[in-house]
Amino acid sequence: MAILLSVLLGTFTYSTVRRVVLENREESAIDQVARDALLVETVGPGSTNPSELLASIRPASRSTPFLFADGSWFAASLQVRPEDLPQALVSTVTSGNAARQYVVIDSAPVLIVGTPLNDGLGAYFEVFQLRDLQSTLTTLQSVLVVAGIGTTLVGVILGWVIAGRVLRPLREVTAVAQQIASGQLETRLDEDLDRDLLPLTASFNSMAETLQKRIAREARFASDVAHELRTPVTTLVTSLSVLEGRKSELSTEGREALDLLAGDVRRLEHTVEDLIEMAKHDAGVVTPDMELLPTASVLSAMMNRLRRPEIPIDIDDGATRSMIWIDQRRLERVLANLIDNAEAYGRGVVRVSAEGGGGTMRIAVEDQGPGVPESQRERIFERFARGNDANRSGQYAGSGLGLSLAFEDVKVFGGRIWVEDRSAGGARFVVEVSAEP
Amino acid sequence: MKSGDRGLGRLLVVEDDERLRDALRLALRDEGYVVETAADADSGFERLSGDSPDLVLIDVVLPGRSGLELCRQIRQAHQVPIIIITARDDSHDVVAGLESGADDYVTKPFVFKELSARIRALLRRTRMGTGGVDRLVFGELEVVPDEGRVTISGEDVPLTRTEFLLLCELAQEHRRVLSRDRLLTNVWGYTYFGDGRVVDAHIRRLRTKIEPDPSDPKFITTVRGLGYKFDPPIEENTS
Repeated sequence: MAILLSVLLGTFTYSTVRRVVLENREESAIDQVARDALLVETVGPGSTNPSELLASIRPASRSTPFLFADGSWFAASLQVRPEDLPQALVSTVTSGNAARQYVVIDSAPVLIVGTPLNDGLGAYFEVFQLRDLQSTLTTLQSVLVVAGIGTTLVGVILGWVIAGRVLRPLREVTAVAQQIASGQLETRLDEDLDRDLLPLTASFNSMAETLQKRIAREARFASDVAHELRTPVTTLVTSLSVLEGRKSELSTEGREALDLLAGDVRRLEHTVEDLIEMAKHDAGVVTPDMELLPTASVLSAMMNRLRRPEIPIDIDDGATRSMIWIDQRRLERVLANLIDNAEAYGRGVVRVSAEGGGGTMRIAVEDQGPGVPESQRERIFERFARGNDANRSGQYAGSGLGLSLAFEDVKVFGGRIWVEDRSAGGARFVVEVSAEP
Repeated sequence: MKSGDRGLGRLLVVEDDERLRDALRLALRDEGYVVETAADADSGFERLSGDSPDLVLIDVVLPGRSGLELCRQIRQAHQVPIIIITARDDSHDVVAGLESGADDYVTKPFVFKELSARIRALLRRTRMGTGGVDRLVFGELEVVPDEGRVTISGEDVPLTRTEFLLLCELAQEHRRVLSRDRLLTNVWGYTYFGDGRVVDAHIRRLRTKIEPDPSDPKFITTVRGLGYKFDPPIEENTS
C-alpha cells in the first residue's frame, strides 16, 4: 500500500515538474530565437559575412545559432553540424513555418527552434542544449526515488509498529481465551498489557471471573444434588436387599415387580455414583493417587476384586516384567466400566489383554459383539451416549456415564482410551498408560 | 425377641436419617443380627453403656457432635469394632474417618451386601484366636498375641483390635513384604473386597503408637508398589 502511494506520488511529481520545466525552457527558447531572428533580419541584409553575423549574436542562453541563407548553412560553432538537424524540421522552417523539435544529437538532448527570416533571407535556427535540464531532472528523479523508498520504508515500519501495538494485545487476548476454553479457568489478562486497552482488559477479566464462578457453582450444584440423593438411594438399595432375600414369599407379580424395582434402583444408584464422580471431574478437584505397580499382579488382583476371575487375562512377554504408572482405584473403575459395557453391548467379554512397548502399556478389553462403527468411535465416550437398544442385552444397570467417566479417569492419570475393531470381530477398548519395562 | 438372644451378634447403628436407619435395622435384623439404633452421637454413646454391642455402625454426618467425634470417644474406652458410613469418597475424608479409630468404612450409596460382608468378617475375626507364637520380642517392643497385649519398654500400648491384629500379622511374618490385599484378607477377614486405604490408615495409626519417630519408621517399612514389611533393626528373640 505504502509502496503504491509512493510510486504514484513520485511519478506524478516527476512528470509535473518535468513538464513545467520543459515548457518554461521552450518558451524562453522560442522567445530568444524570435529576438535573435529579428536581429538577424535587421542587421542581416547589410552584413557581408554571415558567419561573423552569427558570431555577433550572443544568444542569451547556451545555444548554437544556425543560419540558412542562399542555400548554405552558416554556423557559429562546430559543436553541432547542420547535417545533424533533422531534415523534416529544416524543410518545414525553410518553407515558411516556425517550428521546434526535441532531438538527441551525439547522445545529448537538444531543443531545436527554427524560424523563417523575412524577405527571403532564409531560415534561422538555434540549437539549445538541454543537458543541464536533463541532469536536473535526473537528480529530481533520483531524489524522488530515494524519497519514495524512504517514505515507503518509514511507512512500513510505522505501520508495523502500530499494527504490532494493536495486534499484540489482541494476540494476548486470543491466547488467554484459548487457555480458559481449554479448562484453565483461572487465567486472566495482565492489566499492564496496554494502558489504552484497560477497559477491554478489565471487562475481559470480569467476564472470565463470572464464567469461572458460574462453572464452579454448577459443578457444586451437580455435586450437591448427588449428595442429597445418596442417603435415599442407600435406603432404597438396603430395603431392596431385604425384599430380594424374601423373594420366595412373594407372588409371581410381586417377584416381577421386585425385579423391575431392583433393576432401576441399581441404575439409579450407579447414576448417582457416576454423577458425583463426574461433578468432581468437572470441578477439577480430582487428584489421582499415582503409583508404580507391577502390571501382571495388579491386573489379576483387579479382576479378582471385580469378581471376574473367569475372564482370561493375556499378558504379553513385554508386559510380564513391567510396571505401570496408574491410580489403582481409578483404573479398576475404568476396567469395571469397560467390562459392564462389553456385557451390555458386546455380548460378553472375551478377554483382557496387556501389551507393552516403548514406555507405554496398552490394556484392552475385548468383546464379541457387533463392534463399534468408525463414525461412533468418538461419540460413545460422550456423556449419556447410549448404545443401540437393539444390541443391549440382559439387565443393563448402567448410568450412561460409564464410558465418559472412563474417559475422564484415564485422562486424569495421563493415559489415553479409544476403541478399535477386534480382528476376530467385536470391539476392543484400549487404555494406554505409561509403563516402565 | 428373647432378651439375651444375640443372634449372629449385637449391632448398634447410629444414623440420623430416619428412613435409612429403619432400612438398616430391617436389613440387618433380616440377616440375623440384633439391632439397636440411635439418632445422634449422645444417645449412641449412652447405648454403649448398656448391653455392649459386638459392632457399631456410625454415620459420620450426625446432628450435633459428628460421627467421628463419637468414634474417638468410643475408642477411649472400648475395643468394639467400628464401621463408619461416610458421605464422601475423597481420600481426605476417608483418612480423617479412619484416623479417628474406625476399623473400616463404607460410602453412601453402598451395596448392602458389601456392608454385610464386612460386618460378618469383622465379627468372625473377633472370635478368632490369633494362633501362633506365645511372645514376640523385638528389642523394646514386645507382642503377646494370646493376651492381646503390646508393650514398649514394659509400658502397655493401647491398640484397637484391628491395629493389634495388623501388628501381629506383620510381626509373625517379619521381614516378609505383605500386600494390602493380603492384609485385608488376614487381618480384616475380607476376601476380594475392601479398600487398600484402610490398611494405609491403620499402618499410619500403628506407627504413631509404636514407632519412636513415626515419620521415620523403623519397625514397619513401606515397600513401594508392594505393601508393608515388619523389619525391626534389632535381633528377635522368641521364647
